[in-house]
This record gives sequence, structure tokens and C-alpha cells, in this order.
Amino acid sequence: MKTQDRINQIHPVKITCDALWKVFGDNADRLKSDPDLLALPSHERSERLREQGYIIGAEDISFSVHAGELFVIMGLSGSGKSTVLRCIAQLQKPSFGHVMLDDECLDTMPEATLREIRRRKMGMVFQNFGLVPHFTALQNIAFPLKVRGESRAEAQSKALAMLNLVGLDGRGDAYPSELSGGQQQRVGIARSLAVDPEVWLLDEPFSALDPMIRRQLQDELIELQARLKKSIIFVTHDFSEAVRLADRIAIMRDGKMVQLGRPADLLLHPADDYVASFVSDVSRLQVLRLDDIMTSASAMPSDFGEAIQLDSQMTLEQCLVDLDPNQNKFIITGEQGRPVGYCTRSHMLDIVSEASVT
Amino acid sequence: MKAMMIRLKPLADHWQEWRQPALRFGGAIIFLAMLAILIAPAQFPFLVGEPVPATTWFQDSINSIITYFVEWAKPFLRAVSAGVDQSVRGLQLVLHSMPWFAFMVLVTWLGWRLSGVGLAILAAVSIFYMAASGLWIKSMNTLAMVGVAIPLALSFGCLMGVLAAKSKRAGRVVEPCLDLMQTIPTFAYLVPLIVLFGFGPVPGVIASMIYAAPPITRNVMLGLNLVPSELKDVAAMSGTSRWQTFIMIELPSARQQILVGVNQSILASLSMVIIAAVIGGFDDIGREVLVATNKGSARFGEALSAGLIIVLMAVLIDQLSRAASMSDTLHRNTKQLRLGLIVAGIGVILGFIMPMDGIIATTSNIFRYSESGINDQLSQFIASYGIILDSIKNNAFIYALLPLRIGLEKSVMTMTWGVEFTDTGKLIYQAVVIGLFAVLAVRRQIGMAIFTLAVGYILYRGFTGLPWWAVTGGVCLAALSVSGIRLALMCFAMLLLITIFGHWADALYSLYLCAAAVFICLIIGCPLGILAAKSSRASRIMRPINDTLQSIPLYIFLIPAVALFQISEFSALVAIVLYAIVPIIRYTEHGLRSIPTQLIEASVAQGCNFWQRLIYIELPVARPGILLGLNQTVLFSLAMLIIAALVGARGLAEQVNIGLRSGDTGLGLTAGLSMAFIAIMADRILRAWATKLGAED
Repeated sequence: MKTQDRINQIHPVKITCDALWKVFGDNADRLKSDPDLLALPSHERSERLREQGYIIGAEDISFSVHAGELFVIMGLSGSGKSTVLRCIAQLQKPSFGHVMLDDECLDTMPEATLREIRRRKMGMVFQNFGLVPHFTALQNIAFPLKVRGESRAEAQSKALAMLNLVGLDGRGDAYPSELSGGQQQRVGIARSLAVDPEVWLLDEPFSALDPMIRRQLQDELIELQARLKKSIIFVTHDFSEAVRLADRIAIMRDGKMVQLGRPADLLLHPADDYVASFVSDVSRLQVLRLDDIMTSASAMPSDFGEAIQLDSQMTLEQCLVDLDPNQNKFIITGEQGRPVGYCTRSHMLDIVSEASVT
Repeated sequence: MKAMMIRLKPLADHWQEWRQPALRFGGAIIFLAMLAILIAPAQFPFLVGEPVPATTWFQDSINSIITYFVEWAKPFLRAVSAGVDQSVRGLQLVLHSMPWFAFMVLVTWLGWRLSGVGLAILAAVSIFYMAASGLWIKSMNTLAMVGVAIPLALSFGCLMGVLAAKSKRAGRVVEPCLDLMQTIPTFAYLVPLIVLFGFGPVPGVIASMIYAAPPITRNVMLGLNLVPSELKDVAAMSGTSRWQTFIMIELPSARQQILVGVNQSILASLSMVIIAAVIGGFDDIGREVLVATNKGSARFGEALSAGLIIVLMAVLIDQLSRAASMSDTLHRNTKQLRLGLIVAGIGVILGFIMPMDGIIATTSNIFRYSESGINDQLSQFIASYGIILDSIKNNAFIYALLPLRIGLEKSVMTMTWGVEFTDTGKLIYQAVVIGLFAVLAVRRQIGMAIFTLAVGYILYRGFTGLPWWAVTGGVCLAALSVSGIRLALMCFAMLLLITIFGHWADALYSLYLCAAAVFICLIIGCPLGILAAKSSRASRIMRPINDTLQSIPLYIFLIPAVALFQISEFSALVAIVLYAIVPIIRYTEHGLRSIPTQLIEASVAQGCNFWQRLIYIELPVARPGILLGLNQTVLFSLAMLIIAALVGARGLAEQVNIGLRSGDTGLGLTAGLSMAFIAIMADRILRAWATKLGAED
């Protein structure tokens, strides 16, 4: 059993997008109550809407995010990725379909309940940081705490702790204009985490930063997530970023979800040429792990012979670079050293060279 | 997006197809009709004379509605009136009971605290001048009115702004209201206010509230709409309530913009309080200026002195409010602050113990003496140069204003020009104009051709001789060609209303005076703007003058005009030009200065000399900007026109004044609305034209 599937089984579903649509245009709000439209199957519905001059931002999007999972929505600009995120955050109301958080339906709940949920369970990071210019860094972080009515001292001490968490100790009195882009986004991250949310939404958080800082913040995000175990939805247009961070990736194009799967799934079995065009830029060596390419232990031939044992979470790069090139056969072990599969060096090389062909 | 474009495209295509033919057809009909009445007016009686029959129905119904309303809302109106009146009187009492020295120290300290020594000196000198000139009581009365009007205007304006920014529906109501509030001449709504609230300070304060609200409303709307949407998302995701978002995020983000509005509103409020002095019933400084100005050159000194107080007041209030809005950038140590406070306290106490009225009693005598000295000087000046002044006035009248008003056809007589405009002469004139038109039309310079024809015709028949259908058709066609069918229909409806109101002839007269003023502004203002753009020194000299011209209340412009040229149409023209010339200078300078350096370097590289560069490159590129300046100049001159009615302008402005004096609300309001319509039409057409030119570049 693959690691991810195991996580999904152990951890309950946190957020569900159920047949989510977002339609833009004049009077798009009224569509929701149109019974004819609701009765149509999805492709006919979209055809009808387009004929009537509407623009479809997100079309029939369904997925679930499990507790502790880092879920990435990846797509180029205009693909509808941010629309989906904003619908989940209820910054825009979905035109059809529902968004569930635990067992509650976010899109139908009264404004006051939603506000309460946002104050306790949700945190969001924005592409252009969204720092309030007339607040200091510390005030920015304390803002959501103040909003939900925490005392000044309490908010202050929590905000300070957050500031330390993102490594900005001592810069609390600086105004956003006095901070660099990377520092500003750190404040944004600290602010979104201040209320200790269960769900963490990140809308292209690193897109406005230069590559060096971006890389650094990605590492910090991975580190933070290892400690905090939030349920994350992360939106990006950068496929390599998606692959680096994601437990699972949803690829979007023209408002539709093209493929949903683990990074390794996308690499090994891209659904179409569009996905393949992203995949070709990513190094399989660094992304694929042994359990992505191994053959299940139950199918292991009895005469497999002498082999060394490797952990299933090793990347191909680690295997191929670090190990003795004359060693050909490997037994892959999972938890507690139990063998879960097997693999040969030539198979590994095949997989890697396949990528360079496509 | 694409889908929407596709849906709209057939409509747009359709429109593009018949737009050109419509313009040509309309133009041709007007041309033929004008030719017809030139050649044989007798054959086409329906083309000359009054348009749609005017009725007094509107005026009468407005009057009866107001009468009915006053009867109905009497308790409420009385209460409002009493409330405002009591506040003004209360503030007046406070200001009067304060010795001038104490007041001077207080304001000086405020100036120092908010800005620095410069503003402190300005404050001290200004307040001393108010006291020393012997106009202290009147100045304080004005301040009492302003003191009540400003908070009213600010709270009213802010409320509207927030409503309009927060609710689309409210916005749809507020926007046109603002347009009307800013374009209906101030005098026009004084009329119903007098009927509603009686004489005295109250209608002035209420009018000031109405007039000063739009700037703050617009700036609040702008500020709130400019709050980045990401910030609003951040607030929403932090779980803020609407109220929390507004107080913690939106209001602070819009702060700078709102403060700009506060400053503008304060100035507008002062300006309106001064204007409201025409109502009378309150002994304020505006009244002093008005009375002295109406006495002409005999009391020029007094008018000048009172006018100077108003200017000082405006500059001081402007500077103080500006400094107050930026004071958080000011760093001063506590020791200095404490010292300042102590000195100010001692000064104020000193002022209360020793009134020092002796000082100002002496100085006010000196002022009286010097004022009569100025009067004598002016009388002497007029006695010795009166002939020259009169000849300027008369020549301008005979050779420029009169032909423009009634046309060369009627104004060229032996009595005036010394020659007779014979039939042969007329024929030659017509032939020349039509010939020029033909030449230009053949050379495909259609715009110039139409312009020549229009100017030729206007000079021949005068503005008041323009047939109504030509004006209506011309305006609608212009609207059609620069914008579209909506604007054309709007213009048509407005012109129709002016006609039905029975103000057509007056409107033509106002149009004439306004056109004359705008023309003079263009001739003088454009070169000044070019000069300012080309020479930094000229720009440095002109800027403070322009600033002052823009911030002083409109009344002041009447003082020099009347002093030199008595009460006459020409004085009115001079006053209008003085006020309305500023925008065209500014926009010309700004337009020329913001031309991309690249373009200028390219033209230099191609070997253009100074004039070639100006004519072929810079002026055409700056055209949209200059056009916006022209737009402002037109609006300014219409605003001043109404004030200029006090010194001899006629037409709509005079009608408004008659309405004001006789308490005829219907007359005042319809005439005022007619002026507002002219202003709105001019504004929309010129702005659309500027946008079109900008888009073409």
C-alpha cells in the first residue's frame, strides 16, 4: 500500500469540494435558482452557459482534502485555480455545488457562523501579502486575534510567538513598507497561523518573490508543515513548486480539473499532453520514490536472488547516485523493515530515461 | 469575456455603420437650413423665431410645491432653522467675548504647533489685520457661520460618501446628485433655502453645507473604492464584521484621500458662506465686500480691505487644515511643546486681562485714513486715466462683445463703427465665409471647415441670433460624434427643458458671455501655460499666483473689475476671465510637461526647431490634457457668471438673481437648472472629446 493512500485512510476528510461551479457574468447569482440548468449534466450545462454569454471560472470541481494533507491546485493564469480557492474560502460564493468543512456546508451557512469559522478554523495567505500598511508587522499578526476579541496582552504574546516562528524576531515594530518581500510574506504567514487554524489556504504565496527567497520559503513551509500538520490547500502556477510541496496535486485548465493525483502519478502517468508538458520539466530522479516504481512483494519471483534492502521512501536519485553501481537487485522495505516490493537497477534506469525521451 | 464581446459586437457594428451617415445627414440639414434663412428668411418663417412655446408651468408648480411644502413641514423647518441659528449665535457669542489678542495668540500657537514658524507668522499677521482694520466683529461673524457650516458639511458629506461607496444603489442616487450640487449655481439654491429658512445666517449655512459636501463625498468614495481588494479579503478571512472591516481597514486606508477632501470642503464652505452674504440679514465680512463693491470706485479701499481679510482667512484656514492633516509626520520634543503651550497660555491670559483695544482703535483709524487715501488715489487714477479705461471698455464692447452678441449684421453702424455694413459688404462677407468653407471642405479638413462656418455665422448673426434648431442640432451632433447616442439624447432633453422653462434667450446670452470669456482665457492662458512649461522661472512665479486665484472666494474678483470699469458687462467679463483663466494655464503647462522625453528627443533628432516642435509634436500630443483644462475653464466661467450677475452680467445669471431678490423660487431654480444643464453638457462633451483624442493617440 502506498504511503499516501495510507494517510488518507487514517486521516479523516477535512474539506470537500462537491461538484463546485463558479460562473461569472451579469446576474450570474440568479443561476443558482434555475432548475432547468441544475437538471442538466455538466457538459451540457457548461455549453448552455457559454451560449448565454457567461464566463465559467470553475467547472464541476470535486475533490477532498484530508486532515494533515498538503493539497496543491496547480494551473496557469486564468485556469480557475484561484477561483476554486476563493470559493472554498467563501470570498466568492460558488454558483453550484458545495464546500464542506468537516460536516458543515460553508456556502449555505449564515454570515455570522461563517465569520466564527474564519476566526477559529481558517487561515489564508495572499499572493501580494495583503499586509495592512498602517499596521506594524506585529499589529498585522495580532489583527485576526484582536478581531475575534482576544485581550490586548494575549494577542500581543501570541503574535510575538508567531513572529519568532517565522524567524522575524525583533522586526515586530517595522511597518510593511520597511520589510523586504520575503519578510512581508513571512508576516503574512505568521498572521494566517496566529489563530491556529485547522485549514490553511495559500493563494500563490511565493509567486511575488524572487527565486532564491521562494526556494527558502518553500523549505520553511515544508518544515512548518512537518510540525504543525495543517490541512493545506496551496495554489500555484509553478509545477516544480507543486511537485516539491504536494502530497497530491490537482491540475486545472480552462476552469476544469484535468488530473488529480500524487506527484509521482502525474509524472508516471500524465493524463494528457497538457499535463505531460509540465511533467517534462521536472526531474524524475528527485521526485520519484522507490514505492512509486516498485513491483509489489506478492509478485516477487521466488528466484529473485540476492538483493539489498532499501527504504521505500528513498528517491531514485539517492539510489542511483549513492549505491554501488554493480548492485542490481533491491528489496524495498516499508515500516518496521517489512518487505513491501522489489525493484531492479535497470528498471530504475528505464523509468528515468523514459522521462528524457518524452 | 470573449463570449460577452461576441454578444455585444453586432450592436456595436450596427451603430458604427449608421453613425457616419447620421452625422453627415444631420450636418447637411443644418447647413441647408442656415443657408435658407440667410438667403431668404421671409420664405421660411418656421425656421426663425422662438422654438417650442415656453410655459411658466414649471416655475409656477415649483413655487406652489415649495409653498405647500413650507406649510407642511413648518415645525421641522422651524426646528432646523432654530438649531442652526442658535449654534451660529452661540459660536458668535464665544468669538465676540474673546479679546482679539487672546484669539491671535491661540491661532498663532495652533499654526506653530501644526506646522512651524512660517504658519505662525501668517496666522499672527492675518488675525492682527482682522482686528486692526476695524472689521473684527464682521470677521468673527463670518467665522461663526463657517464654524457651524464646516462640521455640518463634513458629516453630511462623509455620510453620503460612505453610503455611496458601500451600496451600489445609493451610489446610483448620489452620483447625479453630486453633479447637480456642484453645477447648479450656488445662488439658485439659495432661493428655495430663503423660502424654507427665512433670512439671516441659516440659509447661508445650509447652502454652505450643500455646496461643500460634494468634495468630501467624492474623496470619501474615491478613497474607499481604492482600498485594495486583497486587504478586504484579508479582513474577511480574519473574520471581521462589516463594522470592524470599515473601522480597522477601510477608513485608515482611505485616510489620506479623505483628508484631501476635508481641505477642499473647508475652502468651499468658506467660499459659500461669503457668497451667501447676498441674502443679507447677518453682518458678516462678505456683506461688507458686497456693499463696498457695489458702491464702485468710491469705496474701493474698504472693499479691498475686506476682500483682503477674506483672502487671508481662506489662506489661513487652508494652510491650517492642510498642516493638521499632515501633523503626524512632525517631530518635536516635549520640551519645546511644553514651552509653546506655556507661552500661548500666558498670551491668552494676558489677552483676557488687558483687552488692548487701544491698539486696534488707533490702527483702525489709520486704516480708515489709508482706505480713504486709496479711494482718493483711485479716484485720481480714474480721473486721469478714465478716458483710457473707458475707451478700453467701449472699444471692447463695440468691436468684440456687441458683434459677438447681436452679430456684425446689426452692430456695424455708422454710429458705432463709423461705417455702414452695406448689402454689398454683407454679400462679400458671406461669400468669403462660404468660400473658405468650400476650400477647407475640398481639402478634406472637415473639422476646420465646420468650425469656420460656425464662427462665420456667429459673427454675422451673433449668439443671440442663433436659430434654436441650429444650436440644438449642433450640440446633439457634437455629442453624437464624440460620444454616442446616449449623450446626444441627454443633451437634447436638457436643451428642450431649457426651452420649455422659457429661458432660451437668456441661455443664449449666457452662452455668449461665457464663450467670450473662455475665448479670452484661451488666448491669454494657453501662451502663459506654454511659457510656464518652457521656463521653470515663469512656472515658479505663476504657481503661487494661480494658487491664490483658486483659493480665494469668487466675490473678490469683482472688486478690481468694478473699481476700474464700474458696473458693466465688461466688468463681469473681466471678473470671469480672472477666475476662469487658471485651469487652462495649469493644464496646458501640465500637458506639455508630461510629454514623454523620448518623443521630444526624437523630434529634436529629426531637426525640428523650437516652434516646429511645439506646433507639430508637443501641442498635438498635449491636446487631450489641454482640452480637459478648457473643460475646467468653461465650468469655472459658468460658476463665476452667476456671481458676475451682481455687477452687470445678464441672461440666466440675472434671472437667478431676480429670483433670489424677489423670492421667486420657480424662476430662480429653473434658471439655475438651465445653467447647470449648460455646464453638464459642456462638461460631458468636452470630456468625451478629450477621451476620444487620448484614445486616438
